[in-house]
Amino acid sequence: MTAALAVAVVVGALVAVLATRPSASSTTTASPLLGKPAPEVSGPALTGGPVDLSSLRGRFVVVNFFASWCPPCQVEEPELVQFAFQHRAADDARVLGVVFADSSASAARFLASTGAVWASVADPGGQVALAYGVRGPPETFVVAPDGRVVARLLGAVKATDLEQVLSRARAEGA
Amino acid sequence: MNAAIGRDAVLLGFLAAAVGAVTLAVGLVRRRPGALRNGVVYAGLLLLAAVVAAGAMEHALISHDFSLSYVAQNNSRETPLLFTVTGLWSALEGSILLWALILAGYIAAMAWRFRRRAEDPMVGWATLTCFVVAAFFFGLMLGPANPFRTVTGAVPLDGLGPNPLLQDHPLVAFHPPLLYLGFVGFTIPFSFAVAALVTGRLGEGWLVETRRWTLLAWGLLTVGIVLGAWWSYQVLGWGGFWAWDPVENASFLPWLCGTAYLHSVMAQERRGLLRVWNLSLLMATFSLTILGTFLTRSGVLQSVHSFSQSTLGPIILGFFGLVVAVGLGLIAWRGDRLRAPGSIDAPVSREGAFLVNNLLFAGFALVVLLGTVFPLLAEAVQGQQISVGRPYFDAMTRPIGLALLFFMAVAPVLPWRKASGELLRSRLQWPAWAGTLVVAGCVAAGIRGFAVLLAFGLGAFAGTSALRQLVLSTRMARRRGVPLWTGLVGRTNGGMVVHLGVVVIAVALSASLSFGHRGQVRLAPGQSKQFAGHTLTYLGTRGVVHPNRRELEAAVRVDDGAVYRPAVSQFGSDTEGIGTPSVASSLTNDVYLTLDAPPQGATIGGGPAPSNMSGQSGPGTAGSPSNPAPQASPLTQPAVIGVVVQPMVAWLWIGGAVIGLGAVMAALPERRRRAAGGSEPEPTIAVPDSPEPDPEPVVVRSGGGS
Amino acid sequence: MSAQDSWEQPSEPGRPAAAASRGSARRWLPWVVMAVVLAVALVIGSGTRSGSETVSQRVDRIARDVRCPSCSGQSVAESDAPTAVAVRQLITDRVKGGRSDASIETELAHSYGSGILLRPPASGVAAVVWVVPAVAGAAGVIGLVVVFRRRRLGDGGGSGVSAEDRALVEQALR
Repeated sequence: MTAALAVAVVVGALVAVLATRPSASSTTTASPLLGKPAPEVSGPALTGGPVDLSSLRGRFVVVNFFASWCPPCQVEEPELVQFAFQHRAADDARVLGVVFADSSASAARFLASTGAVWASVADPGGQVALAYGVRGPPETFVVAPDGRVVARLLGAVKATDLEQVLSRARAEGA
Repeated sequence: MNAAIGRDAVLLGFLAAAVGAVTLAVGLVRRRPGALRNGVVYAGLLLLAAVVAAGAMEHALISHDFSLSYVAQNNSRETPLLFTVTGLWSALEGSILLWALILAGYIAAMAWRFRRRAEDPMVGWATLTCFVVAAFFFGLMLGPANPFRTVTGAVPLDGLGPNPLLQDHPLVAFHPPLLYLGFVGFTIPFSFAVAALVTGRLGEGWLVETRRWTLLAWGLLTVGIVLGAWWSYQVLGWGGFWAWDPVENASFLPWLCGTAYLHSVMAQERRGLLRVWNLSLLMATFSLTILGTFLTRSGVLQSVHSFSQSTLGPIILGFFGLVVAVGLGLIAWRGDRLRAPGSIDAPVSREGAFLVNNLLFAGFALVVLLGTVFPLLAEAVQGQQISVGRPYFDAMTRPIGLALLFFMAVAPVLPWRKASGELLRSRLQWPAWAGTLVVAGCVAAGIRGFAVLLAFGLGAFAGTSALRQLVLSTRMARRRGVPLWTGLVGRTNGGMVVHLGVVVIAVALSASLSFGHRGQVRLAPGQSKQFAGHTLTYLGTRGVVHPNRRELEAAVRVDDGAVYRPAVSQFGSDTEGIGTPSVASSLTNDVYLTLDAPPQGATIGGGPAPSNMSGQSGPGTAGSPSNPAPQASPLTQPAVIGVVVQPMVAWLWIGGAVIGLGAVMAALPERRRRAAGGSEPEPTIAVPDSPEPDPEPVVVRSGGGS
Repeated sequence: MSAQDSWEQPSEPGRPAAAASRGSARRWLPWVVMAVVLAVALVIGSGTRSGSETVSQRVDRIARDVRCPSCSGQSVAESDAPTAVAVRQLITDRVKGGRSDASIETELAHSYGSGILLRPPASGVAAVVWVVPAVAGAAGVIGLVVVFRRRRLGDGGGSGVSAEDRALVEQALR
C-alpha cells in the first residue's frame, strides 16, 4: 500500500513535470553568453578589407551566422537588408555576417544576390561559430554598444524582432 | 472520397470501441451473459473499421490524393511504391492509425480466441479494458491526430514526399510495424492483468492464458528494436546502431520490463511467488509503451525520431497518468489477496536467480528511464540544460549487462527451491571452463581491456550453459525417439535459444564498440590507401538520377573485392543532401563507407553542385549548397571518404534473428508434455533416464488451452 | 593429471584425513585452476596498452563526451557535421596547447552551456542522476540479503501454502 502510494507520488511528479515542459522545437533564446562580452570576430571581409567586431563598439552589432545553402537564411536576408538600411543614417546598428560551413565564393555570391552590403567574414574551421555556441545557421546574436551579448535569435530573424531587441536593450541601459 | 470513407471508418471504430466497452460494463455489472457475448461482435466491428480506415489511407497514398494534407506532406508523385505504402507510418497521424489498426487486430484475435468463454467475467473485463484503450486511440484520430484532414485551399499538384531518411532504405517497411506489433501486443496481457485484479481471480490461470500473447509481443518488440538498430546503421551515416536516443530508450524500456516479466512469471506459475511484482511489471510495461508514445509525439524531447510538434502531448500524458493510477489502485485494492502462498527457501535456487535477474532488469530500466527524462527534470527544477548521453548510459549499464550475462549462465542450471554445491559444480563445470579458456585465448591473441575480456568470457560462460541445456534436450529427444525439432521446441529450449541470441548480441556489441576504427581518407581517382587493415581504392564519382532523388555516388573498391558506392542523395525539392552509406559487411568485420566530401565540382545527378565547404562537408547534416557548378573536372579531383571499421557488427543482426527464432520455439507447445498426457503414461516429475531431472518442471501446463 | 597429483602431494597430512581431503580437493581443484587462469589472464589482459595516451587518443576520448551541437544525440567523435569537425579541431588545439580535460570542457560549456557535455556532472542537481541508481542498487542488495537471511532463520513455516491458494491454483489450471 505504501509502496503503491510512493510510486503514485513519483509518477505524479513526473507527469506534472512532463506536462509543463515546453516543446523542444520552439525557438529558445537562452545562451550562456547573454550578458557576457561577445567573443571576437575578426578577419578579412569577403569583399576585402579587415573587419573587427571590437572596432565596432559604440553601436549595436547584429552578428549573423549564415550559409548560402540554408533556406531560412534566404528567407531572413531581405529582413536583414531592411534592418541595415534603416540604421544606416544614424549608424547606431550594423550587421556583421559570419559564414557558417560554406565556401567564401558561394557565400559572397549569395550576399551579392540579395543586396547585402555589410561586411561578412569567412570562418574556416568554424572556430568563431564555436565561440558563440552556434548549432546551425541561421543564428543571430545582438551585441550591445558596450560589447556585451544581449540576445540570441534562432532561425530566420525579422527586422521587427531586431528592433524589439534594440529597444529593450536601450531601456535596460545598454 | 478517401477522406470521407476514412473519417467515417475512424468514427465507426471509436463508436464500436466505446459502445462495446459500455455494453460489456453493463453486462459485467448487471451480470447479463447476453451482453457479454456481444463483445466479439464489437471487436469484429472495430477491426473492420480499422482495416477500412487504414485501407482508405493506403488508397489515398497510392492514388496520390493530395487533397488529404497527410498525403500532401508525406507523399509525392515521384515516391517509389514501397515508400508510398510505408508512408502510412512516416508521420504522426498515420502512425497513430497504424497503432489503432494493430490494436484492433489484437483485440479481434483475442475476442475470437476466447469467444467460447465470452461469458467468463475474466474475459469480459479483459475485453472491456482493450476497448477502452482502443477508444482512446480512435478518439485521438477523431480529434487532434486526424489523419484524414483535408488541405485548405487548392489541392496541390504534387506532395512534399516523405522525410528523406524514411525513403532511403527498405527496412523502413519492417522496423516500425514490428515495433508497433510489439508495443501494442502488451495491451493484451495488461488487460488480463486488470481483469484478474478486478475479478479477484488472482490464481495463476490468467498468466498461463496470456503467456503466448506476452511472448509474441516480446518477440516482435525485440526483432523490431534490432531492425531499428539495423536501419539506423544503414541510413544515418555515422556507423553506429544505438545512440541512447530518447526514442530508442522509449522502446527499450518496455522491453526491459517485459523481459523481466517473462522470467519472473515462471516463479509465479511454478511456485506462486512474486505476484504483486509480476502484476506491477505488466502494468509498467504497458504504461511505458504509452509513455514512449508521449515522448515521441509531444515534442518535449529532441531526437531523430520525434514527430512534428503537436497538441497530442497532454492528452497522451493524461492517458499515461490514468493507466498508472488504475494499475496502482487495483494492486493496492487487491493487496491482501496477492500474498504469495510460498516463499523463496534458498538464495541459490531457480526462484532466487529470477529474483536477482528481476532486480537487475529493474535497475537497468531505472537507469534508462532516469537518463532519458532527467534532462527534462533538471531543466524544470533548475532551468539548467543538462545532457545525459552515451558516456552515462555506457558507464551505468555495462556492469548491469555483465551481471546479467553471469546470471544468464547460472540460472538455467539451478533447480527450483534449493541447489547443492555439488550440483552446481557439475553442471557449471563446462560453461565455466569455456568462459575461462575464451578469456585466456583472447588474452593470448592480444586482446586487451578488462570489460571486453569479461564480456567475452561471460558470453562464453552463458552461451555454453545454454548450449548444454539444448544438447541435453536433444539427447533426451533422441533417446525417446522424438523427432529432433519437436524435441527441441517448447519453452525451455526456446528460452535457451533466446539466451544464445542475447549472448551473440552482447559479444558483438562489446567487440564492435571496443575495437572500432573511424576516420577519413582523401583519395584521388585510382588511388589506394590502407585503413585499419583494409585497402580502399577510390574509382571515381558519378551522378545518378532516380525518379525520387538525385545521387552523387562514389565507387570505392574494398580489399580488391567488390565495389561499394557510398552516396550523397538529394530528395525531391529538398536542398539538403543526405548521406547514404554503403557497407562492406562480413562475419568478421564491417567496412562502413560514407561520401564525406564529393570531389570539387561534381554535381548531384546534374543538379546543383555540393561544394566541399572548406573540406567540412558531412553526411546528413551538411547541406549541399546550390551554387551553379564551376565545371572543374570532377574526374581528377580527390574525394573524402569516411570509413568506419568495426568487428562483428553482422552478428548483432544474426543475434536478433536467433532471438526471434527462440521466441517462436518458446511459443510452440512442448511435445514432450503432450506425450506425457497422451497414451504413453510417463512419470510427470522426474524422468528416470533423464541425465538431469530438472530442465523444466512439468506441473504447469504450457498450453493456453481453455 | 600429473600436475593435479603434484598439487595434492604436499597437503597430505595423514592417511585417514587424506581420503577426505583428496575427495574435496579433486572436486575443487578444477575450480581453483580455473580461478587462477582467469585471474592471471584478466590481470595481463587489462594492463594498459603500451605507452601513455597519444594526442589523438586523448582528443578522441574527450570528443566522445562532447555533444555534436548540430546533430541529435551523437558525440562529436561520431559525427562529421561541420560543427562537430570544428569542435574536434578546438579540442585538438587545446590538447596540443597543454590544457587539461576539465578546462577544455569548461570552455565548451562557456559558449554552449553545460548541455554540450554528454556526461552529466557529478556535482549540483545533475549528481542525482548518478546517485539515484547507486542508492537503488545498494538498496536492492541489502533487500536481497535481508530477505534471504530471514528465510534462513526460518521465519515460521515459509512454505505454508493455504488450502485456499491451492484451490485457486487448481481452479486456474483447470
